Amino acid sequence: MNPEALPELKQVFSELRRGVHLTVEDGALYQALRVHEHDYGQLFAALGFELIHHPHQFFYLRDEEREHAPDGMVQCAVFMLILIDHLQDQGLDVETRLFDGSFDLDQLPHLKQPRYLNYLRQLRINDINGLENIAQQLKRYGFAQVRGRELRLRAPAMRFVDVCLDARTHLKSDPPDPGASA
Amino acid sequence: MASLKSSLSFLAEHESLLLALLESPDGLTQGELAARCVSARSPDSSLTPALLQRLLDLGILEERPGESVYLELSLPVRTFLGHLLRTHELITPEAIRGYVNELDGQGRALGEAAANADAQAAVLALERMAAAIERVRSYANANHAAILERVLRAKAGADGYSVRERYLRINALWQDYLGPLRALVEPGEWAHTSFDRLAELLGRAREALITHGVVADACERVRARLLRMRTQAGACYAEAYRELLPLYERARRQNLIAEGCGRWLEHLSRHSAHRLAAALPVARVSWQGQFNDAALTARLLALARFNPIAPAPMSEAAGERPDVVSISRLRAALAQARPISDLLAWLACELPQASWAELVRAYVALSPAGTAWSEGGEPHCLARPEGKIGYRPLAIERAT
Repeated sequence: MNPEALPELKQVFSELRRGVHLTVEDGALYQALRVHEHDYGQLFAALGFELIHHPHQFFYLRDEEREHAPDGMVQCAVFMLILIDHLQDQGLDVETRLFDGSFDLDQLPHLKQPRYLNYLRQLRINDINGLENIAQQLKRYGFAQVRGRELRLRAPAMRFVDVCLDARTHLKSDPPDPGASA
Repeated sequence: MASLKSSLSFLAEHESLLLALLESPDGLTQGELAARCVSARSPDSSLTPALLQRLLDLGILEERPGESVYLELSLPVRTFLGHLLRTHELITPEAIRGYVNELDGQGRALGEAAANADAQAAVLALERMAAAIERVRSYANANHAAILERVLRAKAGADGYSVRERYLRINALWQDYLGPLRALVEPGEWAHTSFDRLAELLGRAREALITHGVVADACERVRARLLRMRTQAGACYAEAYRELLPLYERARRQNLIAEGCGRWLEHLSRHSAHRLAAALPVARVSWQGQFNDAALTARLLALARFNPIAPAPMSEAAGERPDVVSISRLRAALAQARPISDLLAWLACELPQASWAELVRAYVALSPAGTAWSEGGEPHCLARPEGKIGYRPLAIERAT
């Protein structure tokens, strides 16, 4: 198919290039990708990107060339890691709890435990305002919906579960950094 | 000796006390036991010294070795109550292996007895075999029931364990308790092989001892026991596997998530957020340059319509060869030829077809570095089809 004729091309391109993850909740954009996955995949490959169709039914673009995750994404990742750590400490089934309900921004464990606060301070997050900013980042990338004080994770947040599952691969040869602060 | 009826009546009268002890594998102190009985508000609530003594005399209770203040149920009563109440305890692989080894040993004894036509030795071996088979059957059933009980508790989330603890326990169930069941039923496994051997041996012993009708019948009965045990063990294994597998996989995945999460957070606490950003495999898309819609469309169309044309193949014909000069080959030739009085003239002889550009490139490459040379003399002129150039000759001396 001629790339020009791909349905929703302008909008799909505009969203994916911003790092947004598109799920079935995104309606026409997701359907366009789903139906024309091959053509879209070829198009983005020609532009130097890989269109990923995650098994949990969402699409995003991967750029292998990029060496560092941007600050916003790092904040999202640390936020999610803390949440996952907290849930597993409670003995809960992490995946079920992450996606089967919502979280009250004021009840999150992130600012309530010194250990979690230490992690957040490394990202210069110290208070509820910082946490709200991260919630907005999660929304911007399509990882979550935010309604008032309620945060509901969307399927793309599975990427952070994948990050945990792949930790051994990515951190295997990580040498200690003598200059780093604990 | 107390009669069975009176013993069972006595046990029934003190049910709450027995249940309290059954739920406490490590035993209870007299004080704890008395408190449990009182809280149960049953008619047997008072734990008098006389009652305690009677329980000890009947062998229902025992003092914990070295700690007489603690009381525990004796093993036979614990097993009996566990059987009645279906609260099975897991049987270790070693225990099952012990009985399978016992079967192997008795099998050898039966073989010898059959070879010697020793009916009495054969009967003894058969009795021990039957007991060992029943024990294995009982253990297989107990493990099956215990596994299912724990699976149900874990599924209900009522086990109260953290993700890591739950995984370790389910993994132990999988490795330590389902494993022996598998060994009983899967061809090639140690126990399965023993049972095959035993079944064959029982058949041969029956034939050998056919003249001793009772012994031959006993062989057949033991074989029937063996068959029943294997059938039940097979069913136990299949069901326990079916129930435990999804739970095991779930717990394993949860544990991997927990472990990975811990690694990332530990990485963050040891290093900087910058290092985390470099390691995280969630880099956002980066886009160099700004595309407006028209530019994007044009680019997409250009990409879609782009049809690369392969370059013409290189010709080997004389005069059409690619104009490429090998500097390394020339350097080697120069090393052989020097001293020479005029480098450019020498190159012109070596490369008669080369263009001026290639000739000059070779001249520059060979002239100064690492080579003894001298410049001077009268101006010279070199004529080629492309034109003429004037120069002063560069002499290359013999290496010192």
